[in-house]
Amino acid sequence: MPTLSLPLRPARPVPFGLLLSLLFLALLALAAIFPGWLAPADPLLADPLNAMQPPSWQHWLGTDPLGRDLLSRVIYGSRYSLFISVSAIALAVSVGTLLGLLAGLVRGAVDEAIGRTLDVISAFPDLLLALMLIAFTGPGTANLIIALGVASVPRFARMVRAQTFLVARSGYVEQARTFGLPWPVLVWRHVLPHATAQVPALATLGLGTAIIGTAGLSFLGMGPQPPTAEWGLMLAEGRNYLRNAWWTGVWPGVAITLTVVAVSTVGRRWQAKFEGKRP
Amino acid sequence: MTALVDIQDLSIRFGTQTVVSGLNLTIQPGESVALVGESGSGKTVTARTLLGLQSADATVAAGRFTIRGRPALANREGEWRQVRGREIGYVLQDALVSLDPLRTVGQQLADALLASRRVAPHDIPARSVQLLHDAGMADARQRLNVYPHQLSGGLRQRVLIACALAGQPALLIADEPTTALDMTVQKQILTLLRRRRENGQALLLISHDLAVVAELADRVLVMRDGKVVESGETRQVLTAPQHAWTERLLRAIPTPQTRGLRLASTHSQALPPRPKVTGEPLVNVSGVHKFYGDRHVVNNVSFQLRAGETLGVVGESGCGKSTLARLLLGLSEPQRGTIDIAGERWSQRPEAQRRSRRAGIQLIAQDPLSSFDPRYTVERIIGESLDTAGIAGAARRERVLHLLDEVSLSRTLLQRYPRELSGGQRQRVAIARAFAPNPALLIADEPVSALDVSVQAQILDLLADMQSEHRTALLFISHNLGVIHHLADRVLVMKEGRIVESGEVEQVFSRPAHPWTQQLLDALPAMPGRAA
Amino acid sequence: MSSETTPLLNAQDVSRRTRTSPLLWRIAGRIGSGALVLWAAVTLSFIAIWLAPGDIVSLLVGEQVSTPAIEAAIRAEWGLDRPLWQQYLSYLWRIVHGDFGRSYMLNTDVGALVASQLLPTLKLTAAALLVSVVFAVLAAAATAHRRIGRSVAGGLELLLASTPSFWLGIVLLFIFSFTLRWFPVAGDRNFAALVLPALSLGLAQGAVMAQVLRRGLEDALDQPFSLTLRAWGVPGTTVRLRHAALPAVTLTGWLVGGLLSGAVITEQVFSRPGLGKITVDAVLAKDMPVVLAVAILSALVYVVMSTLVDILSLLIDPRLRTQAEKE
Repeated sequence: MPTLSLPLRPARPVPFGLLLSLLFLALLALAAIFPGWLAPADPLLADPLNAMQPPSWQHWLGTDPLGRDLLSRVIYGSRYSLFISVSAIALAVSVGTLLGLLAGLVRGAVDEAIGRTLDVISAFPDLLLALMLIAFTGPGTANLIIALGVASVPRFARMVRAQTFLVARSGYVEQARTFGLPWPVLVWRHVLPHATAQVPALATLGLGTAIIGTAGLSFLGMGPQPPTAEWGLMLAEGRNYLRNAWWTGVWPGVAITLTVVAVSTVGRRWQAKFEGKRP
Repeated sequence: MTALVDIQDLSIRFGTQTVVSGLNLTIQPGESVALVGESGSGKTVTARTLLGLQSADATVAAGRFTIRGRPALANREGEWRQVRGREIGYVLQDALVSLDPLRTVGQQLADALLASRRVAPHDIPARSVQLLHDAGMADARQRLNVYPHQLSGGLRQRVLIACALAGQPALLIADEPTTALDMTVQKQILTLLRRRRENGQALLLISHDLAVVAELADRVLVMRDGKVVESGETRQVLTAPQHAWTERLLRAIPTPQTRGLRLASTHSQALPPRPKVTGEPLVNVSGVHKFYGDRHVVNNVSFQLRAGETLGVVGESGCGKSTLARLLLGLSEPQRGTIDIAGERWSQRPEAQRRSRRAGIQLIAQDPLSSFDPRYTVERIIGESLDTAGIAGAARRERVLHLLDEVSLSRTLLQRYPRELSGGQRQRVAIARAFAPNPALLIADEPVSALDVSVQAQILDLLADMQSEHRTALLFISHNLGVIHHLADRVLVMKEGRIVESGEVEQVFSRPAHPWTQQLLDALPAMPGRAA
Repeated sequence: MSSETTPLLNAQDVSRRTRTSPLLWRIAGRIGSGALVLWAAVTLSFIAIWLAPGDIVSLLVGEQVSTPAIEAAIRAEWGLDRPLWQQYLSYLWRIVHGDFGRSYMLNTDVGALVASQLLPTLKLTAAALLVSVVFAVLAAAATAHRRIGRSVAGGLELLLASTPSFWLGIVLLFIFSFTLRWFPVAGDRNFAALVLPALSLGLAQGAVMAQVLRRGLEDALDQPFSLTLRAWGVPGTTVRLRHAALPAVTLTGWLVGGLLSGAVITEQVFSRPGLGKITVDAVLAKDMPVVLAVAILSALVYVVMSTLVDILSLLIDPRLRTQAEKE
């Protein structure tokens, strides 16, 4: 008895928040890659005569204690925040996924060893772990990337491991065994795609945390050094002038917050797609 | 006498979708009424409105909606709380998820008693013990400190019923109270519920199982797609149905009388003739034992299965039938004993040697959705079993299309994903996939247990057709004796890992030798005899 | 033939899996694995000292000018003349006794230094924890499954969670300290000085926790047992609060770690005394003994917290106790 064909899925309009976030991130990426196109002035050009000017038509966001245009510094600052956090997450994702897959597939002693290592790494709170690593390597961009990356590895490794474990015991993997497919083929076809399916969404969410972490460590002086324009560093400098020039301590924070909101919105939407598709 | 419940012209909508319309329901004190229907018929959502427990986005309207004579449709939460537990009690199915796993039995009874506000706090412990005792639990006092997951399914259900009766409600709504339970346990719970009727208390039973309804209800309302298609005295409706749908539901039930007949047709149509069973046994299981830790899950099991034969395996949960299936599939190894298939050793062989023969033994699982990779389309799912046969490209496409036709699925479903299909459609896809490599042996582990009766009928007919066409031997595992009696040639009755009885189906079920088989047969709820 | 009456069932019907592992065994196991992690952390820090580039003595001396007297003192303290395994054991021994060595840059005993700065940081962390938990539980319990409430709360939480806690601190400082002068600008003199730092630290983390908690709560409310409770007539609020408790406990352990590191930054923003300042200074100056002491201390706090949380979970959720049997 032939069944009727199912109706086509209705097209859903893209939610407003998501659209806005994507646009913002596109703008940010532009600012990070081609800051010269957007910034009105040189971020390092000091102009002591115009120091501590409130926001005006010449300087939309005002000037800092050395007379540098804040808008330009914020735009240029996006490079560091994005570059450092994206690199850190890329590092965490690659190492973490690999470890997670190994632990989930090989099991046994390897799983135990990896699990314990992850436990030790997570015993130190993210920021403190990063601080410790920087104590050995010294401040700077590359070291910040490594520090933040290593601190984020456990999150990804654990998620991938848990998913691998779930999928390897799922009904469809078992069914595929009855077809006579060899184990490597099963892993490649069924286990890998499902185990890593949530990684992009988790990475996007982790990016938000990494951006805040980068700013935080730079705020403490562990990241790029002055006179570089970096959001966290700018906040540290601005904090001292809060009483008289509030704008020096506000705009970089606004930039960080908006970026993380945008990244989180995208990440959450992405993750929501997986809600109904658990193995 | 004021009716306990008096509803006229009830309609329930979710947004623009109407799930129930034009429903009339009256329940007098002491009456047992049943709402019968398949999933999606609207019976559960109707029952929930009697307690104001429908979901927040449901719009409920009615011409008249009174509980104990008082209008209840516009009740606020506070007013509903007066009704819940005190006037009307509610028992959900599957107590494992319906009881709070973090609280003991005693604590939950106390919750229910406190909420009913009919008992003084210092009387709660005594009353709790009384409630458990009335629900048929021995050692009631000891059970108070136990957690739900530590009890067996039947005991849990009794606890749930005891809690629902804490406030001494005049009406008890039982929503599929026995669906998650074994047959023998189901019988005990039904007896418990029948006592309500004997004590002059009202019962509203929600069920898809007509036999259960026959045992418990005075009146029955048959629902389909949100409407009541037939209602009346139970005996009358079940022996001489007026509506075509009721007729169809009754015909779809597999019984000894339906043996050899199609279940999903409007008149008694015969199934295709069974393949002749001859020659050497295809499967030879000898002295097989399987342990999980110190649990003896399969205990000295031996049997044979010939090509083209249908062997039923029947037993309650935990009897080892599913483990037996896994052993036959080579997904797990017996610790003792041997399994031979097609004359060659199957068990304890290295995987590399078995792999080439796997295509000849296929599995149909109870839940097809979890046996499909959610990323795969129907076409890929059916085709995957052809990998080892080396059939690819155009030849594979051809074969997949042919199989789709065989299982009566439209070709438009090829690019769909399993989550877009209905339960029946999914099981058809699973059957297509299983028959794709032309297996000599098919193992079906409870393949129809999760399906509605009408869909189950279609799938059972389909299986019979496919088996006849492909001449496949079938090992059919089920807890439902009716299904086995309808379809199998021989049967194995299992209990606690052992085979307690085996033989021709007619023989075993009409003249059982073992007391356990007799117990299983007795547990079958009885349907009243049909008018021809 | 079966009888018509319901046979009274006896104890054999209770599932055979009720053999509960002695609870104490499970607790001991948790404590054991916590101790293991701590030991690994301490060992790792020992290895780090050895693996760091450069000579150990110059590493410990840092950027000062080194004199033979200092070098001799370092050698004696760290036992650099003895074989490696002896150094390791003596290191362990000293750590267990709270002797974290001496900071040559600050010319003071590290243990005493850390102990003196510990209290203000703990006060801040505890206050922030309170803020987080209260905010998260209230936000989640009040808005779970409530359409409008949850959108509003969700938006607010997104904003708070995306705001770096130190910037939130700066903004609060500006509004409430500099402009409105309600709270002191710096220091740890009184309770009022704790309010803004605790809020800035606690709200950001609390927002993240609120999201997770609400999710868990909504899942619990969707479960059949929540429906059963309502069917008995139990009030809705009771049902909500009860199921918020368990996930709240598990999250608290994880939260403390984040709050501790956040405290380091918050102390800088609000010019508060505490571990934050000495840690940052030590990291920048590469004062290893201090850095290690802080690291081990934070690992200790985290391990203690998560072990407590694990044990609490075992006590709350009886299913975890019998888990081993089912596997």
